[in-house]
Amino acid sequence: MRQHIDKLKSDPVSSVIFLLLLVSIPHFRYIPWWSILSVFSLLSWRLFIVIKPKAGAGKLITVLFTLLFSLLIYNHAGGFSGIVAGSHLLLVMTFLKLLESRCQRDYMLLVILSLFIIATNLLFSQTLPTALYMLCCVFITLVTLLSLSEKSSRITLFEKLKTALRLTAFSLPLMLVLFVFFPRISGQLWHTNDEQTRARSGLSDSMEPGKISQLVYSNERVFRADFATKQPEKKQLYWRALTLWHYDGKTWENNKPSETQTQIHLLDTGYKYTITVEASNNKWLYLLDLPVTISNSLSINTDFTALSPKTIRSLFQYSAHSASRYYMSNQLDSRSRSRALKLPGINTNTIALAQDWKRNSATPEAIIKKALTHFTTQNFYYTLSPAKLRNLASVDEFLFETRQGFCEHYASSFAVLMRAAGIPSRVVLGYLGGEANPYNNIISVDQSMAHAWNEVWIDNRGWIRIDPTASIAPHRVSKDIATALKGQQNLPLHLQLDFAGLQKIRQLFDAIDNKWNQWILNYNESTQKQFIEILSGKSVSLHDISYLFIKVILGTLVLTVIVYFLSAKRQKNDAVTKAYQKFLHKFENSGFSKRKNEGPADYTKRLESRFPQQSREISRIMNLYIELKFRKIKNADSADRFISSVRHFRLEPDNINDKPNS
Amino acid sequence: MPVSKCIAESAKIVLGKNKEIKLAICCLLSQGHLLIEDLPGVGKTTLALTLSKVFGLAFTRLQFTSDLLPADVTGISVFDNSTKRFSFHPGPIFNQVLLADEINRATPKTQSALLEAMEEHKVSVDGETHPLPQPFFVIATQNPSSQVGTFALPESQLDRFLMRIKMGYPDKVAEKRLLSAQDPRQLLDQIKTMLTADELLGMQQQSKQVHVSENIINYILQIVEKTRHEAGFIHGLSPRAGMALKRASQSWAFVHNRDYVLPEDIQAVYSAVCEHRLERHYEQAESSVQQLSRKILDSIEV
Repeated sequence: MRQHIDKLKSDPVSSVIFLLLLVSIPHFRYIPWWSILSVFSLLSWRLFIVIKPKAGAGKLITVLFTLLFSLLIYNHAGGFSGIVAGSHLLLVMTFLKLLESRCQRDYMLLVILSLFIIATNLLFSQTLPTALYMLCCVFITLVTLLSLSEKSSRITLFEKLKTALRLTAFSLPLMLVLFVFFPRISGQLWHTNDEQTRARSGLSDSMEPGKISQLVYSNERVFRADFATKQPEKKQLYWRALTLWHYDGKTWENNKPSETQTQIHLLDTGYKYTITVEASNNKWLYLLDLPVTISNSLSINTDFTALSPKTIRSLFQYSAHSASRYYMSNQLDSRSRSRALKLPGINTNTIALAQDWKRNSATPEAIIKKALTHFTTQNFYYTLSPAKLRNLASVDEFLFETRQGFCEHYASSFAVLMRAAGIPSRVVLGYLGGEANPYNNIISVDQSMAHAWNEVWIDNRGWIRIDPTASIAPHRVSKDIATALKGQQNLPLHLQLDFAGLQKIRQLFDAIDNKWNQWILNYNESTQKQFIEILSGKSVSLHDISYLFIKVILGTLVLTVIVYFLSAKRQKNDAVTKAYQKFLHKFENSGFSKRKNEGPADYTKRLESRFPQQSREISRIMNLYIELKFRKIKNADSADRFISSVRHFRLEPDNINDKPNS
Repeated sequence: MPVSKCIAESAKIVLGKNKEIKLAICCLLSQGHLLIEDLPGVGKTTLALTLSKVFGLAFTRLQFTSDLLPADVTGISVFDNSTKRFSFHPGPIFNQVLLADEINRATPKTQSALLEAMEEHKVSVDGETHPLPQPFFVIATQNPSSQVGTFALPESQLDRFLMRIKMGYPDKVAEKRLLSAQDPRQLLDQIKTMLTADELLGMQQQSKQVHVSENIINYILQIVEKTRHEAGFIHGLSPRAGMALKRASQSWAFVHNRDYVLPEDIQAVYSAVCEHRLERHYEQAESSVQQLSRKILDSIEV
């Protein structure tokens, strides 16, 4: 057993296998289980061959395996086109190549292939952790490549690491140039991307009891908001996504009425901010209540929501301006008014209650106040897991029986109460709150902050935001959902954990991740254009960028070659000088060290007469040194020969003990 | 190798002075002029005679005295009665080797005339320019300046000599041979001419091709730099001195059959090339120029 382990340790294939495994791990996310199994079987087989060299696969078996796997992958992905099938094929075929690899050349090929495998991973994920992992992989690939090289036995692991680090560092400027100047093309290059099209949790375009409370179980980020002006207070962070008008007794739906444009009169400057939406697979954009203008040739709808022209499959950024204090001057058009008052003929108790309020109140404001007071005084309870509503008249059941609900229950019943009392109202879906990151002051909003609230129309004031949840659970608005639900059972884990340290780390990482998004992932054709325009000071087209790119690349290449040759020459020179010092050092104890101003030829003569047994070796080494330092024509291998000769030179001990005969 | 034959041949006459012979030959190969400084009777003239014989060069000797005039060196225009015109009569300088004996006994005016001709390789008399022969090599001898009746050459003129060597007394063995054998001057007739003038010109060109690596250039730079920062000298070595050091070391390497210069070559020609260009401050004369310049060389790591 021991000898087997030694065998495995000494065989270079072990390091190649380690490397291949390392670079393949990220790909295990999308390849099927049988593929992962085959990968491990193939590499185990290859390790077994190290112990029993005869156990190798023949040509026929290799060919058969190749065909088999090609068929399986074809079948699995429905063809060979597309990034999933392509990367899958590359991965499996690399491991098949591993099976038949025998010599240095094969291993080199595998190492190069692993670089490709690393690159394909970028097609699936471009996050910061992925990038860091890949950088590590590239570094380890370089180390493996160095250990496979012929001279590897002569250099230590430390030197290999140093060289690999240097190579990685050298490639960074080139990477930077490529990143900045490689012409960006609009539109997505990769369409069939699993990661981007997979189902995501999030708001839907309708609301019924229990739908939003499900979202609380997810802490996936929805968007980030970066305020250019001062940040609003936490209780003002109402992010609206869509408005729901139509109620069928159970579900609120988003069928947009043709509302006329509303005249908004701002009472203060409001807030300016930039929002970066994560991939959501829908088109909703999130805007702080109440949006006034929006950038990027987007437009705000009449109900103060906005939609992206395309489905959001990757990060999407826009900026907007919202008002905090305002009023609307015009009237609600009759069509919208009738829609905002429409009710199905159920929930009779509720309607009766509302009409009773209406009779006893002078103004709509009084009715609203009555309704909110009703929630606070009649033992209503804010909970994530309310009792199920079974009746058809679900609002009646909620208001008069269960009295337990999450925001959607309150928003829904409040809207019904208002409509019954003759006040136009609607439900607004969106998010409430946001976690401000202390490191960059960016507000992050995740799915658990999903919220529903109401808007009522009051003549001469316009649409007014009313959040009935705020009456029952004031903490939901002023603090966060975790505080509002504190002490309740069956809370999701991320709402229970409250370690300040952990949160700090998460926020720090989040801040870094945000920078990565802003600078790396968000660098597209328009930001590139802007950046190059700033650099060049004039407007540029894609054409110009392409030309610039070619120029920059050629320039960099020429510069790299020049620097390489200069530094290679200097380094060789330095190494020779170093080795010469080493050589001189070997004579230090013999009483025959070189005098300060003694030239190499004189010193050689002195050494030759003193150490006649080794005079040939000494003069050979010194002549190499003289050749390297003073001759015009040098042999290409002289430096290497000199350095290795010095390394192997040992002054014979009997020479050292003699007293100098000077 | 023709050069080593020349050295061997010269050594037959100038006994026990191998290094001085080599330096003189280097000077000749470097197309520079040589200043020999020593007491009378140590073989300065013999060396000059030997070299011109061995290298097959036309030789003149000109004894400098205090009443020697420039025209005595360069030549003079004389009115020719038959042609009714002035015609130029070249002076002793129109020779391939000129031995200017005891140059510091002539007046500065005459010294200048010679040194100008050395530098320009031509003589201008009455508006006419007469080129000097090729090769052209001046060996000047001078008595130590402390002797009576001398006009010390100013530094600006000393700078024009590529090298200054001192003959010194021969060692005991050489001196014994000198005394027991024939007078070297008579032996001169017996030694052979080893080279033609063309061959010498060729060798001058070849020695110019000897490779001087960057390391050597840096070494020269260090030396020059150090003399300029040495407080004991009135001033450091001029750029011309640096070039002279390089050129002389090339010739030294050539004489030793190498096509590249070693630090040892620089060291070998260093005192001959540099010392006459350096001057001590009088008030700090506790060590001589030689000692100080040697110290500088020793302090530079190679």
